[in-house]
Amino acid sequence: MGDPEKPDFHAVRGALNGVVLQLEVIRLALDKGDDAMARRALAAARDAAKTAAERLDAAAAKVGE
Amino acid sequence: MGDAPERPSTRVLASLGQRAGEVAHDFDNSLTAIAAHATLIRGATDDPEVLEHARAILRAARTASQVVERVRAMLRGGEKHERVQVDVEALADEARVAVAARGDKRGVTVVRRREGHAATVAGDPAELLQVVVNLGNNAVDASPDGAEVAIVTADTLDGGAAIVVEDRGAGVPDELRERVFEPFFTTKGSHGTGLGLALCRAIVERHGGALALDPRRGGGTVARVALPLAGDDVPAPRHATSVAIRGVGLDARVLVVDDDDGTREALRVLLEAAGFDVTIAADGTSAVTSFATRRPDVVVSDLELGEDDGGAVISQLLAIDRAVPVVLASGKDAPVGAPWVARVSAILRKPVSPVELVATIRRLAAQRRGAMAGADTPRRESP
Ligand SMILES: Nc1ncnc2c1ncn2[C@@H]1O[C@H](COP(=O)(O)OP(=O)(O)OP(=O)(O)O)[C@@H](O)[C@H]1O
Ligand SMILES: [Mg+2]
Repeated sequence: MGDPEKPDFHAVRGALNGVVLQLEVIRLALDKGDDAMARRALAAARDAAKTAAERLDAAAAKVGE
Repeated sequence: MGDAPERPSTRVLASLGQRAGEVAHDFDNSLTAIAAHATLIRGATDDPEVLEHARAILRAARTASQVVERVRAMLRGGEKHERVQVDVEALADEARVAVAARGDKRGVTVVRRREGHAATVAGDPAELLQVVVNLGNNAVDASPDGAEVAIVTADTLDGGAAIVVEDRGAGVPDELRERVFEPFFTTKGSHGTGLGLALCRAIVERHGGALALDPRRGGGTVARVALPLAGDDVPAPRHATSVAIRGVGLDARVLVVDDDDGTREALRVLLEAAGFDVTIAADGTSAVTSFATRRPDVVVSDLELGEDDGGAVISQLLAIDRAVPVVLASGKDAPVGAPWVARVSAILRKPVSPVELVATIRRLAAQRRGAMAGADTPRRESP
């Protein structure tokens, strides 16, 4: 996939995409009153946000070098 | 209006109800197999005559699976239904856009008129939208080229809300006035399933309303949906966006290809909520297999698919069906100059807005359906 030398900001976008989608799922779950679905999406959103942060750190480290 | 003890259509539906689910399922499986083989034939031949037959099989299989879907929709009566406040004006506005697309091809204009007070009814917005769109499509079909169809919102005499669809077509002959509501009654041959009005009536009656078709003064037909106003206890839809997300899925099948578990699952949930029939694939191999058997109307794919290259996967799908619309979701710019890029219908940059994604799929599915409904699928010139 990406060049190991270059910071991969695209990967950050990919993870943020996950966050946005999960937020929409949460909205849908709230609409339906489906708590379990909302909780699952919340956990997934948190994971995606964490991944985004990690990828951002990795990219920033490469920029710094 | 609506006080006949029990119409034949209702009885027919009730008796169908029991086993219809299983039958529909088996039937759909057979259709999928038929369509898959027709797709393979289409991909394997250059003989124009064989191609033509393969396309005819595909069209027929597609129509048949729409029938299955609509029968299912009609029978869903027993299930619990979502009831939220639905703004009648907004509903008619949205329906107008969908019907206008069908009218465009034949120079039929679709106009909106407001003759009543702003009204709110209680219902399932997607279902009610489907009703008005079906009635509008019938009106367009009945209209001579260049004629006008009107979608009018008005008050009913008993204080309810009415949505009226008027056309200047040939009208419904007297002796067919009730028959047109029977499931499978159509005068459109292979172009109609004959389920539109049966479905509309079932939905409207589930909403406590009535649907009638009457002659229009001066020629044509007036289809009138009357619905009771929403009581105070009916909840508002909680979020504007999710109403935009929901709506008619146009019977479209969507294949989502994404290697990320969370994203794939989220897309499935959201697109299903938008009314699409969704299949998911995590990698290139399962995408191709699923594509060949399920024949999706639209493909949504990620550019980076772990081990697989999204571009290569898209090329393979386009080799099976060169007319399938592909939506690419990507964190980076698509490689300029790659031959498949020119054949991608839309590129959405991540993070993708769910509303935009749904709107894009809907647009492509409608175009695709328009193309398939035509006598001939446009053929690409050979290079
Ligand atoms: N506005 C109209 N003007 C004249 N005839 C109509 C009108 N609406 C419906 N009909 C007649 O009623 C029949 C049944 O309509 P219905 O919507 O149930 O099925 P369809 O339109 O034939 O098929 P489908 O809705 O599946 O495309 C039509 O085939 C047509 O003959
Ligand atoms: Mg119809």
